[in-house]
Amino acid sequence: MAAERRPPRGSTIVPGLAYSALGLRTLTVIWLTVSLTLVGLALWRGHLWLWVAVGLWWIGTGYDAWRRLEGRRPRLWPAVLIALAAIYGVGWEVTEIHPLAPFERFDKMRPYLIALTQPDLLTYPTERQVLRIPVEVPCIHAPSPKEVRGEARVWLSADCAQPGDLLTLHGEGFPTGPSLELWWVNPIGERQRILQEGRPLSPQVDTMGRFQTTFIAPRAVPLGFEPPPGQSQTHFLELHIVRVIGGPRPSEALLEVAEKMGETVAIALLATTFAVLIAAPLSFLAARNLMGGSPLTRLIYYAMRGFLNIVRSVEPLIFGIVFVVWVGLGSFAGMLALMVHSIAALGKLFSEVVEHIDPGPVEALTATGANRLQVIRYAVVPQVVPEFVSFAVYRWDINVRMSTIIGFVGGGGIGFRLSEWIRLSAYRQVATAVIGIALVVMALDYVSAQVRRRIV
Amino acid sequence: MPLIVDRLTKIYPDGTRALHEVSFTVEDGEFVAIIGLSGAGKSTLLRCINRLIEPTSGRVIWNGIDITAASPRELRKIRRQIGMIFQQFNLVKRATVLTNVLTGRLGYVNPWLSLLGYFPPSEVQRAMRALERVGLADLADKRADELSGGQQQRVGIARALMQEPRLLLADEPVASLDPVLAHSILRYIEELNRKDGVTVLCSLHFLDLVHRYATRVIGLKDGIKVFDGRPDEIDDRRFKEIYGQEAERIGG
Ligand SMILES: Nc1ncnc2c1ncn2[C@@H]1O[C@H](COP(=O)(O)OP(=O)(O)O)[C@@H](O)[C@H]1O
Ligand SMILES: [Mg+2]
Repeated sequence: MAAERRPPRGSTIVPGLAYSALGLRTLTVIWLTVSLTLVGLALWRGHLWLWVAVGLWWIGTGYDAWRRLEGRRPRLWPAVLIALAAIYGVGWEVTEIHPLAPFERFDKMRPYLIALTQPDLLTYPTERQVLRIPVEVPCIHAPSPKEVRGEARVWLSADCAQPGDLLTLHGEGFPTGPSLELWWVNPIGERQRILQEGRPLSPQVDTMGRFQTTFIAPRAVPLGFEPPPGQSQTHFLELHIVRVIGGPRPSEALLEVAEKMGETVAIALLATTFAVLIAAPLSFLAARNLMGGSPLTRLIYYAMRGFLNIVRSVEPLIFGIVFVVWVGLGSFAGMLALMVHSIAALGKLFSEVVEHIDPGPVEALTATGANRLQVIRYAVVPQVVPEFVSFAVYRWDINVRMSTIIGFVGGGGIGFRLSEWIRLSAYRQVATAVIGIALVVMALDYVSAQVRRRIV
Repeated sequence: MPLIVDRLTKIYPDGTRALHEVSFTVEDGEFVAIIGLSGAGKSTLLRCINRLIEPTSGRVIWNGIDITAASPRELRKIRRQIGMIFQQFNLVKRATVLTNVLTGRLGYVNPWLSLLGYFPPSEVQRAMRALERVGLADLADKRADELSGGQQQRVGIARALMQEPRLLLADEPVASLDPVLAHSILRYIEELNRKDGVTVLCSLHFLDLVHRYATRVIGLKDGIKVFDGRPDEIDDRRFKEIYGQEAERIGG
């Protein structure tokens, strides 16, 4: 700073002015940007302490400018600290950071954690014997116990009930092996499991072959089928005696997870393959060393670069939403989403590989009179193929992870089912899916690492 | 038909003047050594002749054709008659020796078939003959990077042979090799020059090699031609003109 053109001391009252008077262009711009940011934040959030921060920032930078003016060492850090504190303060508030939430709300997570230890993997083929007891709803006459005889004998504490009434079911002469389930069937045949505290009720038979269980008569009148006043409808209580007849089988959830994981891997495989086929030629157009020749090729190079960078910056999930609207729900939409993103991601990586090849063979083959395509075919392709393959395998691996997610927006694969199970709070099925995803992803991770290690 | 280099100048985009108004004429069958310190412009000169590097100004005329004015298609036709070998051999390392040799023929074969990797049997036989000539026929199926440096340079020569060149540009072909190997490589080039009558332009590092093989020497210093004559004309004064006052002559 020129001493003879020293700005007046008073200019430090408006710090930005002092900086510009001192000829510190960068600092002036920074000061202006930070000041505008802080004032903007203060206007937006409307907190008094933000205005205080604005004031302190001004004082701090004014102090710094004054020191510079006096020819002393700059001291900007207090002002910078204040600005950072204000910005992080607002950030903290906006992010609604609540550090205790994970602990306070642990009960929301517990069922999932428990389910992880007991995923829905196996089922046992069963045979069920059904005993039906009619129940009149609502009670018109005085209730009397209702008995059903079979091999075993069961009786209900009343032959009619209002929804919400307590009913007790007794049983005698039951074998201890089979498990028991209670179902309620309404007049149009809809069946619902009888629950107790949210869990399916399963009465336990004692050593004498007897059981007794109390439950609440559910509200099961179908909409539009309400009985006319003064009349009742016949519902049924069903007691299912469920015998296991044979060894374990894969559960429905397990079969479905397996099938959907297969679908997920296939979506990723096709997306990656198509992407490689498209990205490989494009990458040559996006490689500086091959496209430096003429203004036209350089234009193509920049256009290609720009295209790849823009497409790459869009998350596959967003493409997923777009393609679900475009081509409809399902795997094809997911495949397209992953493919488009992969084309850009691979195109960029491939073009960097091409840019780092040994230029010697290119020079040598150009000198023999080979044309551009021949040079690419014989001098470039052999150099890049191993790395292309390595990146492609890696991309496949990434795409498998992504395609598990893309199902959440309707792009097929396991994600779609998983999102449904989460909505239905089907904890054990969620656990099955999560475990399935983890296993497949880990396996592919390993395979892809091995393949890449062998190639490069 | 002679090779005429006429006031050839190359200024790189960064402003480096690598060649300045270099002119000379080479008659058919000459073996011209290009000498000069590293950075003198030897590589630039050789590459300007087949336009691997575009000259800034000046002309290169060969067989009566102005190479510097040739269209891309004409240029490829010209290039396929000009063999080139390099200090770093510039082989495709992951390809086989045979494929490397065949690529020397790319300017002649059907371009579309060649993209599919197909070469007619006659060309494969030609490649085998070229390999026999440099004594490597039994290594045809090896990967190029499995060969020693001397062998790789012989593959480079075989690749140039495939072009049936009338002119051979060699950019320090033996600078990465042991002195013993250097002679064996240069003898192949000499044989091409003597037997097949191929004109040779070859940049060289060691004066003893120049004396042994060249019929003529062109000396470059900072992109300017400072010497043009017979090898035995390089006396101490000439030597210092080319290599600078501090340089000392070893042997030669
Ligand atoms: N691509 C390039 N861009 C800029 N300068 C270059 C380039 N290639 C070579 N040069 C410069 O041109 C001069 C001549 O280089 P070169 O022809 O390689 O000399 P030589 O082969 O005799 O060692 C050197 O100063 C070198 O640094
Ligand atoms: Mg050189």
